[in-house]
Amino acid sequence: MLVVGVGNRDRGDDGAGLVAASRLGAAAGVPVALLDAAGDGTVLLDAWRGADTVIVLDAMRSGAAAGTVRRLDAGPEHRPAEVAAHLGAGALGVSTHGLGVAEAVALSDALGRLPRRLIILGIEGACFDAGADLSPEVARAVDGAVRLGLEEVADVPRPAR
Amino acid sequence: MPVKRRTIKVDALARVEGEGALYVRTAGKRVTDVRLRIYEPPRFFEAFLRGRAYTETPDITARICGICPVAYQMSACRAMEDACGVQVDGQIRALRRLLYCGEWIESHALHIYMLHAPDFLGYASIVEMARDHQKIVERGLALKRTGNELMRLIGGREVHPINVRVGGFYRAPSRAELDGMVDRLRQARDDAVETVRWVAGFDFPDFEQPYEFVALRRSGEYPIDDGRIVSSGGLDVAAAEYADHFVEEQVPHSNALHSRLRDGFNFNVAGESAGRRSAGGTYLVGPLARYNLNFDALSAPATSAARDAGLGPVCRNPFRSIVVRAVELVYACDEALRLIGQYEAPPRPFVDVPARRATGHGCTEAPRGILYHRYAIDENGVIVSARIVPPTSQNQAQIEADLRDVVQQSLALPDDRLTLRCEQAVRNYDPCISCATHFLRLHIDRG
Repeated sequence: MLVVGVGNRDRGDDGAGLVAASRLGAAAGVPVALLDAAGDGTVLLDAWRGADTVIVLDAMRSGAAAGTVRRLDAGPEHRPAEVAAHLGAGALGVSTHGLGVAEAVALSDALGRLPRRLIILGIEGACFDAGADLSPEVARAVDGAVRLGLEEVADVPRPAR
Repeated sequence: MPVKRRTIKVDALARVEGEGALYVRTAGKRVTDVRLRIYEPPRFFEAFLRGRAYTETPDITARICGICPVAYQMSACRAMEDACGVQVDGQIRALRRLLYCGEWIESHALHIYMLHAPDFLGYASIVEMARDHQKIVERGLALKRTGNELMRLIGGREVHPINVRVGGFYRAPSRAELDGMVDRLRQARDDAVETVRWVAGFDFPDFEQPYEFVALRRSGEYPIDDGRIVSSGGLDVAAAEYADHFVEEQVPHSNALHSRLRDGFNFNVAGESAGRRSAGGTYLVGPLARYNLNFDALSAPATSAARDAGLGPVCRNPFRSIVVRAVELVYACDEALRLIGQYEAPPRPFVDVPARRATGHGCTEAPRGILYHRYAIDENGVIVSARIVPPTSQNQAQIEADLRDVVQQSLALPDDRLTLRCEQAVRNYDPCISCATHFLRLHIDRG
């Protein structure tokens, strides 16, 4: 089980996924990988290598109302190529470099190493300005994303310690 | 009879770093207009460096690029050290070169496997290519990962490293930490040799250009972090003389400045007459330029990989740049191993660089070519002026010249194939548009 936060803390609401992932990891007691301005999407493949269940939190820009949280199931049984195409259509397809989250999902699928369960929680951002704080509605949406994340964690049988 | 006109347009070039577009117009059998339009917004880095402390430049300029932050850090540090009259060498310089090798490995692996190879194998993207070539793509990802790990070990993290300072590093790794990379780098070197074999088997268009190559050169080593600026036309100058020989000019269709070699300059190396100067002062930087000007300085494994791939000391086919880039991948792994082999942790990870009122120049070899920085600072080390010339702006005019000739040579192709050929020609340069706005849509206008 792994929680992955994607984004850039220095670009306003783009940091929402990082904030939400840190809080979800702490609340659920599961390992967290934070990909803060970590470059291209291939680092995601490295991050979730060997993980069975992965929850990815990322900011999105889909045209929905700021603070909207969307849940996408991108596991192997969910036609990841279509999920990726859906993501790439604007919501999470925004990346400075060639490969974003959508391409990372599709590439991972093509290579036959998608996590058995892959949930993507997208938080609609409003302001991606350099140096900006999280917008109030996005800061509130982080709470909602963490709650959704905790439900996902609760669905997964925990290994015996 | 009316002349048949064609327009080829690519509104958003894929598999390049940043945002740009391409516009080509033909009339009959003649190419009438070629424009590489970089519409990524201007970045204004030079303006907001003014008023900042000279010690802040490595961290600020690293943010210009997520693929080549080390190049920005190294050129910035060298320029500030030049201004302050300090020379950094020995193990600190070796560590810089080692960090830079990590960036070359990461960047070259990304471009060869993820961005450029799909052009040669007829795939729209790495995702489609990965379905048919899993093992090959995994090899590319492993190479990239090794580059990232080397950057994290020396730089503190793989993107925008935090361990670089003017004068050296905040912390130097231990011998044992570097030894931990050796097995992975040996595997990476083997994988890089396999990469050269793989890409050498691609089909390459029969296309050569009379380039003026520009790269760094320093006796006894392949250029990465230091050297004089030399060209195949006979230029041989120090970084401080850059502005005397290169000029940047604005063109209406691009947010990136175009660089050109100044006309009328008469080089004289060892009493020989000036070399040929290409029309309009266009020149080429990057792997092809470095290779042609420094073939003799490649390490034995890199030279033999090049020879096995059928490459001699001269290569003027830009489509073969993918092979040259792979040869450089071998070199970067090999050089990293050499540097680790001779490493002794320095007693102190940096040298003092006291500020003084001066102007300094730094030029290093980013994966895409030479990156020049110049700063003027006052007696308190406050930046008075800054100038940064990234490799992609230097290559812009040459990319347009290549496109013109590629289209002229390939006019018989239908629009869709001509468009792909144009995009491939642009990707030969691994352009980093984010750096250059300082990337790509293609418009081919046939009337």
